[in-house]
Amino acid sequence: MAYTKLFKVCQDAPLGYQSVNQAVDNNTALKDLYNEKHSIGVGGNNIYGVPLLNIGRHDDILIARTVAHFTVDTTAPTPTLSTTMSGPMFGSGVQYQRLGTGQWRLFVSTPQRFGATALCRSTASIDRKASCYVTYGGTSGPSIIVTTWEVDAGTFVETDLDFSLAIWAQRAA
Amino acid sequence: MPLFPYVQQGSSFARRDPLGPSTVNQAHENIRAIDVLAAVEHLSDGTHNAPEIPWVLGHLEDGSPPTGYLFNTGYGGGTLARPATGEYTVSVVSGVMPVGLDGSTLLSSIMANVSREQIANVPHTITAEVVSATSLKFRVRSLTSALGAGNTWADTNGHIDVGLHSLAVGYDGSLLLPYELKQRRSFLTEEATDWNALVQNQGIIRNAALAEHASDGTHNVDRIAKAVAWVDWDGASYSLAVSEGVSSISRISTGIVQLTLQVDFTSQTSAACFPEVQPSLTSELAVINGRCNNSGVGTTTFIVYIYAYDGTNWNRADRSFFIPMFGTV
Repeated sequence: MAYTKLFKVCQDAPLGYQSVNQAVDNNTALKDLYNEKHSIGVGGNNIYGVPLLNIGRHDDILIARTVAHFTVDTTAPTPTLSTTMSGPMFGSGVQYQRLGTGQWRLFVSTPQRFGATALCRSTASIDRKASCYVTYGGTSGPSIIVTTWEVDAGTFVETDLDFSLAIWAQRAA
Repeated sequence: MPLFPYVQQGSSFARRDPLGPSTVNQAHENIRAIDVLAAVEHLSDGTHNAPEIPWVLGHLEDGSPPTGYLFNTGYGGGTLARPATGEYTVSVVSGVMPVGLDGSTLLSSIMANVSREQIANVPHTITAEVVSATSLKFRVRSLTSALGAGNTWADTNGHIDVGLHSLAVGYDGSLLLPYELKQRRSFLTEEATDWNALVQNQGIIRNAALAEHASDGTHNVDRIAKAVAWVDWDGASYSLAVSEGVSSISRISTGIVQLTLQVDFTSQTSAACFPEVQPSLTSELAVINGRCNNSGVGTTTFIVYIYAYDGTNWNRADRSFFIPMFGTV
């Protein structure tokens, strides 16, 4: 619906029905503008019952749906993963499985097509690499397997390293 | 989750019914509902303000110092530097970034890609190091062995693409004019509670929306991708599985794929991408680099180069991949 700039009036000026109708149409035009790429509350819930997108959040395939930074804690007998994140792709919290040194399965809560870009954090002049393996099926369901490597004696070795993820997905239904 | 308190009104409502106060009252409330919705991930001037949208995004052309492209005002006039071979620092003015870049206490997700022309020959890697609350260091390395002949790497200079996510800033407050709900028998254009506030508020909302959106609601800011693609490799050919803004793909040769966009960027340097390869196995190490290889001539293309490590050597490889692409239209 088209937007038409309306006129201002002086006090007690007559105001016809067409002007009021246009004001109503202008509101519709502005609502439709935002509805194009933002959620107005029809995103539905994920498997944890958490709304996929709250009102006002961007709902656009061209914008990352979730961004996160993961920190590996190697002080415990078994390394653990902690995260700061924003977005609904992991539901109410990251559920993960340690697959081995430098390899984690992160369970994703969406049936839609998704992808991720990963980056290793570095604190030394050593070559490092992070990669993502996206899986939709199997007993684990949709997940991202992140693997982090570090060059050691000329060979890439899977190593526990902090990493960042930006996860993109199709627009919520 | 609160419901969006917007009540859809019929556009011919005011003709059939007596012109009572409820129509204009609801119109006022609807504008306020839109303002509240916009405030979730935009500032009052329309600037996008969300963790999922990089606060700083740009393309660095190698040099001493490097030259930056695409960086928005959020970059705040900070500095780019190349303190050593293969090292690039991106520093922002203190107080410009919504929060510090220290990933140990704050959310800060980073995207990065090597986009020098030499990615066509050998794989490149890039890592990021948080130096301070306002500075990041990126390290670029490339394979110095020939393909199929070893795994030796070294620091190397080159163009890079970077995207820095951070927490959103606090909302800076609505710009809407106040209004009062009308009562029966009151004049619709009564001073200070009248029609003019509705008209001006609609203009305020529209002006803010158009700061970083087109009139149809699509985004027109450099920090938001203009195209994205999921490209599948089935062992014999590539296919465009899911995409937006991409008109076609073409396999140039093993591990080399070109994507043609539906829009045309103003230049190759005002472009960035952050491709990610899908390894053939969960344990495979594969690398993908990408760059904008043509623009400003009616069509824009990006090209990616994919390499896989077999445990001893690096070789070109066809793999599925994902790529978001940014640029100035």
